[in-house]
Amino acid sequence: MENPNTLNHLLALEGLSKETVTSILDHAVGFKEVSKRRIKKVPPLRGVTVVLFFIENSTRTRISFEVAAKRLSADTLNFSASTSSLSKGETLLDTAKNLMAMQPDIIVMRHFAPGAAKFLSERIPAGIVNAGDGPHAHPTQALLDMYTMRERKGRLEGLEVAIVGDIAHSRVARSNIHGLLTMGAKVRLAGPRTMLPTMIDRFPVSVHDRIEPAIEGADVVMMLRIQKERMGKDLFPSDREYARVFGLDSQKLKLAKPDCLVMHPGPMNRGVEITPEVADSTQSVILEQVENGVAVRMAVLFMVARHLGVSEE
Amino acid sequence: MMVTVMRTRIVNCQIFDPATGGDAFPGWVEFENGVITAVGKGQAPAPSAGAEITDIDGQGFTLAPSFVDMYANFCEPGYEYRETVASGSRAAASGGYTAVCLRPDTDPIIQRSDVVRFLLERGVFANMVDIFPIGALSMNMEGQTMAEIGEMAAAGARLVGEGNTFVKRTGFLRRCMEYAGNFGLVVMLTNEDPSLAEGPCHEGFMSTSRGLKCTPVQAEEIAVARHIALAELTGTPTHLVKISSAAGVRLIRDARARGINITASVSIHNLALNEDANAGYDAMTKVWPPLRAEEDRLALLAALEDGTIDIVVSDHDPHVIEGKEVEFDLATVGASSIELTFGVLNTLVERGELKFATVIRALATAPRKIMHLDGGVISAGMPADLVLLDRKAVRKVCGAELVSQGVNTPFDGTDLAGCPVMTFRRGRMTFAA
Amino acid sequence: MGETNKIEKRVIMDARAVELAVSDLAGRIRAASDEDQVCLIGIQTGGVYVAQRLHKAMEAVGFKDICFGRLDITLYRDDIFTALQQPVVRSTDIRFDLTGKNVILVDDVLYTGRTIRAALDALVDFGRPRRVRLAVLVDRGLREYPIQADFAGRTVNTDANETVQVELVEMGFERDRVVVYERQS
Repeated sequence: MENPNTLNHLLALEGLSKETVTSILDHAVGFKEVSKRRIKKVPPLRGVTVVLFFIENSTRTRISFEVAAKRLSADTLNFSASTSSLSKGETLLDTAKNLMAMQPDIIVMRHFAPGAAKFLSERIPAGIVNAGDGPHAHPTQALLDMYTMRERKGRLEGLEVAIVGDIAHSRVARSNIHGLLTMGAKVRLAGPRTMLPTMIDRFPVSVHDRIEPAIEGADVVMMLRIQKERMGKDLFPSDREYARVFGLDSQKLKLAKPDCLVMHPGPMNRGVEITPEVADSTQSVILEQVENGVAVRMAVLFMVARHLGVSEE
Repeated sequence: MMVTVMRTRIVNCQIFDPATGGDAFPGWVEFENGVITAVGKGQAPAPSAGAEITDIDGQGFTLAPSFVDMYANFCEPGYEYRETVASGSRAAASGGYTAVCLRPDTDPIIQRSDVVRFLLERGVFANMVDIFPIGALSMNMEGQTMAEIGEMAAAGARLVGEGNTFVKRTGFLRRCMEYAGNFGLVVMLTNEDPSLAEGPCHEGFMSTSRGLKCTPVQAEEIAVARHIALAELTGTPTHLVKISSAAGVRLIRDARARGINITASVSIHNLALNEDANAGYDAMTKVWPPLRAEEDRLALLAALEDGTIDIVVSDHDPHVIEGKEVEFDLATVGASSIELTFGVLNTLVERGELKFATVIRALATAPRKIMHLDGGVISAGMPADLVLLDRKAVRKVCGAELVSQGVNTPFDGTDLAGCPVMTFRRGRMTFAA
Repeated sequence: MGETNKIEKRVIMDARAVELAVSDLAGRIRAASDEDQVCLIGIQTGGVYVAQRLHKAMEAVGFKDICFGRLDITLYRDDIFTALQQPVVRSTDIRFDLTGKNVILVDDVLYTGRTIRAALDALVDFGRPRRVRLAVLVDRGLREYPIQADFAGRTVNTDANETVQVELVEMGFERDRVVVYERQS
């Protein structure tokens, strides 16, 4: 019986019940307050070791998790690919087993291979939090996105949310799709056909190959980052064309509801998928997303630690 | 070539002779000097006084012609840490096989007569199965210069092909096929256009949902179409290895109807599994061609039944555990399968997805026809290449305990119905359970 | 709190008694304080309601400058991961620096003292008060920590298998009461 107040691991949002997702968001409310205090620290994870195992590099997500862990009084250890033995050819499994010698309670992991977090969770006795496994999932990003939407709009049920960009390669898109559908929101996807994965319409979402129909009447628009690395892969001709056809500017934003939120997982390519005016407009909640990210990650770490604590009984 | 001089009989078994077409009948078989001397129905007659006959009791078992595998990797020379001709032969014999064709992508590649001779000798030395090396079409399989196909044929090769590699230059492939036809060789071609192939999974709902790099069926369809066209152009007998899609089946059916000289095979993995097997990122399910959609799997089963696909190959490709105990993206591709093929196919028979007669045709009769080998029927005068099968035994597959050195199989932990219990190669028992 | 399987044993305070106790507390706090300025911090959740009542009563006895805050101590509990019922984190709302302030921590029932210990830990993170005192509506004894109430509305003896609940109309109950329940296993 799934206990909505604890998490064994957080590998993906797919399969999590509405109660559990709600519980994470509710916990995050309490933790957001901690970040507003003068002394931004509470003791529940005192003595808990959290390893930040980032095989795929990321500064912002790693720092967000690090801050979250420290605000819960946990001890953190950093492990990144470039400085690690992985670059010397050690396998992921061997590296992880060596990590276990430091007795981490929780491993926050980012990796370029889909399924990597699941792979470790089946072999390592620590709580695993997936901070991104290739194009598959990025559950804490979707959770902080939903937290932001819920805080601003008061609900998730029935919200019209448009996700625009490179859906095929986006773990942010996939996790948001699962999370939003679980919470009863309506999802619209848009992107060039070269970036829409096959059979994505098997999920109960609407799919568009232009941005306009997806944005029309939306409560939230989430723009995905166009990764420059994709440029050489024949997916679209140039930044300029992408910006004109699929980028979000003030003109296109008018198609959405007047109080539509503008979101972006970061880091932004200003002038490509989003214009600076829109990014800095009053409708943009991009900075709030970052702030909420810490609270949501505190909630996730707390609930994973709680499962470890309970299971020690 | 070792033969058993003694007269041996297998009695009290069910005999399944593909030549008679019908069901298995209770009977007995006698062989001597490597050749079947008599086949009878019902109870075997008591041996006459003074005759030295060894009787083997086949009670509860079915006797069929032994199996021939047209596509396997025994990793020798070059990758002996994964498998050798000796260990692979043992695994093959335990799978009911008496002949195995070996892929050219070893190290060194089978591209000159010396490697052909080496492998033939290794096969003789292991003395379990007949080894048929498949010679490469081009030097180093780079698709630039033709390999010494004539010399390899003279050394004993009957088949040529480029392993799992796609020959990029169509014009070059045409010349290789023409030249191979010169020597009566069968050209074996795998079917995937690499420029469409972005990853080892099927482009479909599972790859979308799991974020896996994938390849659409059209990569196979385009390759199959090309190879059929070249078979038509050159007239060389061409075998399309490991078809995995309904689209491929459709093209082959059409080509057959037009009388083009092609044959086709399917691997046990594409018959038994679909893309859902990749859901948990288990590297044991990483095989090539990819496990496709259920519609494809059903089309392959139907094609095997109606003969559009002639044979089943094991696609035996053993790996050490280190190659699989990694993230899916980094894992090695392939499964160790040769000892499991009958069990997998018979399980499909038990589930009503295949007929038993089709299985025997696919494993025993049709491969011999393509390779012009004697046997494949149970009648006097034929080679005593036989396998005794238990069609009822249920066994759980354990990767770590395979006869093969490889431990990698997507069937690990599953129950398979049926297995070989004895294999005879020219009358000599090469395997007993 | 264990909501299941409890039977009502006795009512130790009715609405009138609650009202008197609250004014009595306000009066005693007035007598024991030199300053007019005080901070009331109610402990979630019962303590917040009692603190709101106390706030009104204290204004009536002359306190001029009462700042009000709510404190959720869930994250400071020593049984945060092991409690059978997993408590949900509620909100803490203390918008002022406690440094130099005369703080009155308010809870509904004082029992083992662990809640107060957790509250004191939490308070430390909000500044360095001049003094901290504890006011409770009911002290039911059975302390497990060396903590005492500076001001208690009513003191009763209870057993470990009993629970004491403060039920106020603003919490959704019909009328104000303080009830002793016996837990049924």
